Amino acid sequence: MDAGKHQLFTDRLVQNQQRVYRYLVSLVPNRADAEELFQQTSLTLWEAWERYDPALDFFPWACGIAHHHVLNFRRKRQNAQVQLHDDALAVLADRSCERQAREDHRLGALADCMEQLTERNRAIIAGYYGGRSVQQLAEQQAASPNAIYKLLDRVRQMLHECVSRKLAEATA
Amino acid sequence: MNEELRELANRWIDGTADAADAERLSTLLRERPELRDEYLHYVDTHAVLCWKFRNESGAAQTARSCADTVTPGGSRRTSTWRLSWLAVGLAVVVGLVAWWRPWVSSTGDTIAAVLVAEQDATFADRHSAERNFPPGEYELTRGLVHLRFARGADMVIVAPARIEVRDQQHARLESGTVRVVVPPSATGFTVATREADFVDVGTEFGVRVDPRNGTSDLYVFAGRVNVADPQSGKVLSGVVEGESRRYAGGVGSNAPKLAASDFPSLESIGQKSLAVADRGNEQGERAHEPSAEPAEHLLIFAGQSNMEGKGTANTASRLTDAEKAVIPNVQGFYCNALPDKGQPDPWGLKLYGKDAKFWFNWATWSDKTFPAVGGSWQDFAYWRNDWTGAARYEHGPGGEFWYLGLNPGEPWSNAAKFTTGEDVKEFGPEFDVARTLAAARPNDRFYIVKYAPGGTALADQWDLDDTWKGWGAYTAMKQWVDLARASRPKAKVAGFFWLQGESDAINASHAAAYEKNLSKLVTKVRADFAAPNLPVIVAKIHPGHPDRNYGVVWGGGKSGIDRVRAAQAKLPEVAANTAVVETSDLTLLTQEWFQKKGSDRKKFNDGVLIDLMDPAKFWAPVHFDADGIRTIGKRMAAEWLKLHGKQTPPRPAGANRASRQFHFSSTGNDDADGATPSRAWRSLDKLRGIELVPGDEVVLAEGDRLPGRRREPRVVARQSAGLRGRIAQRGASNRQRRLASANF
Repeated sequence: MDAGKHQLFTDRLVQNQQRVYRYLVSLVPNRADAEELFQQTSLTLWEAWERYDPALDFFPWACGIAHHHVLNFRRKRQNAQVQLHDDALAVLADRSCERQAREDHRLGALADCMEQLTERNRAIIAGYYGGRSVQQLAEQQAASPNAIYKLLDRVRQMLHECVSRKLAEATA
Repeated sequence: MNEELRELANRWIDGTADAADAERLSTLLRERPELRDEYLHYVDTHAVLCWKFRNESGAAQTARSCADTVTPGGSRRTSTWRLSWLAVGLAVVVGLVAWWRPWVSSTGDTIAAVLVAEQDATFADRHSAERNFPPGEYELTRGLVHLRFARGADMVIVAPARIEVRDQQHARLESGTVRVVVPPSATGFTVATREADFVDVGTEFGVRVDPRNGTSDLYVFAGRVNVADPQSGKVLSGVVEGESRRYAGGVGSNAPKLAASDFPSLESIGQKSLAVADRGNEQGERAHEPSAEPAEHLLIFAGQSNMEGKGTANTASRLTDAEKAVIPNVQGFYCNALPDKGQPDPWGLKLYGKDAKFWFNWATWSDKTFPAVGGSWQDFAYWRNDWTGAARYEHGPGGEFWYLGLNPGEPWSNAAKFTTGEDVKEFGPEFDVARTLAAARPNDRFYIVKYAPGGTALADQWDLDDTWKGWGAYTAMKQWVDLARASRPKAKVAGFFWLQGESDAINASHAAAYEKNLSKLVTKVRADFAAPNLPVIVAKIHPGHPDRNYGVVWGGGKSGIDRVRAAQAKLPEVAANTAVVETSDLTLLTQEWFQKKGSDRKKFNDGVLIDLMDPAKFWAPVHFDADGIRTIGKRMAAEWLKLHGKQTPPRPAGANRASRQFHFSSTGNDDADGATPSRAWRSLDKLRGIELVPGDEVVLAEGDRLPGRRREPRVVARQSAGLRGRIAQRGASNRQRRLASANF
């Protein structure tokens, strides 16, 4: 085993984790599914590390492996879940990989934007993304599940607008 | 941002999108490139949120998934996707030969639904005698019926009701009350009414239509239902769990108070019909001789293609008349719906499609297929004795589907001439197991249930941990067996016969995990069927042809096969009351046989066309021939007779056998399996049939009063900290064990 190459690989893997994850979520937005795919992809990357050529960009290579997992996943679930059409997914996958390859500061921007939310909205986001179900949140908030979905959609949109603004300011 | 796109994206993210949403979103992304970035930009905010909270709340989990535990050269976890394309080749050879799809009636009409259960049901149009429900209008004047639609949706209809069954995914309720449970395979199932269409998004809901004015009431028990305009199909609103809504005169409003109890559940009708069946049995038996009640054994057969039985071409013609005869004390559980000749595959299985998703399709065809068509007990006979015990599809020369299955009594050879012109009836080891046991125990009754999808690996498609949430082969098997058991409540699950492992052997990590997985399977089967001492009989996989070994040809090498065989051989050491059957002396099928059976075995796999019959690349003998399968059956039967007759289970040779626990509680349930506190039994009488061995634990709550206890149990050890006392059998001698058991 080439220790130097191994170290390089490890560094690049760690650097690119977040992108690979976001790439997967862009194609499979369900958190649990994306998590499963992320774990599978990480595993494959480790298993394939000797085939990685350090002269090449890491991320497009990782994208390819992640994409492969997404396709397998869709086949397994093809009758169990509604899915995007193959061709729509294909164009999305290409574009998503290009986009994620670029450096951005969305995570930092998001942290700032979270600060600006009201207490309740922040709690909803933290609850949902922290792993609670809509049903649980509904009980906790004494609201209907439908209202929780609506609220989530609205807060997500607010965050999105805020993040977009901050990213635009940063590049301006 | 485009508003429609944002709404679609939100539904997509929330998991509430339906098929129409997917269609629309696909169209937008395909036709309007400028929206792709907008969409990705928006979803990326969601992604970053996921990432942020993933790393804040689940730091430990994160570590597990990344670099900390899986290192190059270190131990690696098995993951399900890692079938190499060579392994896929095996899946085809092992799996495709027994492809089948029930779902077309013998009259040529498509069946939309089948009757699963009924209670005092009467239809206005004399339909009540029918099992099958082709599209059409039905009026239920009395009672309750439970229909199962062909994609798996269940519907309980309460009389009086008028309903049109449109197809496997659509019904129209003119008046009356229905309750619908929709599994993932039937997402999008729609109940139309005059006022609104109710489109499932993975859920359970009830609909009630007032016969006087058509007012529709909806109550959602779980998940979400989209309400669509009946004319335009446009989704008007979504109704979620616990909500009810009324639609009248084109306007939605809150419904008057509706409760779950307004809609009879599947369970209520199931229990009622079972209760009726039980009463019938008891009366029947009282009329005869109550003391001479025959023992009823339900035997489960499971595995992959060798358990289906691949090697029995021509066997039927070589059977003697005695062997062909119906066995009086054996019944098999068979699918209700027989496919018809020449019908297209109604499940949309694209076996010859250009992207050849075949090995993933095992999930499709093993999923809710059997429960969807329902099953029934019939005389056990060779001509019906296929891997599901029912009719089977094969592919005609042009890729069309034909059936090999038969109506009761129809000789197999009548239907089997489409490819080779010869009798290709196949059956697995259950044929000889049934014959042998029926002869050895003529006063007992045997019930045979088989579930064996070809090409499936224990470490993969059997999905013992149910990570595929209901789509794994194990879950499908359990559903099928449970369905069979429901109509034979007196039969005890009395044997589990397993012939499988070729697909694990051709993958090094699957092979390495086989020992662990096999013992997990045994534990799981015993827990799930509430039979802690269930005899389990495993036939070893064949070591492979010396010149053309399937492990060497398909992956995993010979060592993969050896590992699986070693794991199988070791089972009796790690699990009590199990036996292993040797197969290395048996012969495998020749390539000529397969070629004769149907030579077109070309498949696309990830865009590469492979010829499965290509001797240079793919062909390797893996299936037992007719004599081999029959010998395996006889050997398995002999082992069952030894295990089942045994008074004391064999002592484990290894000391590290996992101890069994039997939990009891005054709030427990004797229909549970007793394996955990939440599945505790109530009555100590449950211990009567169980031989306790050292290490077993009987867990009681301290101070709890249980029925069936004759005297205080001898408490050997007491857990001081908790509320529960623990009775452990520590003695090693038989005498001590008997003493301990006698206390209960």
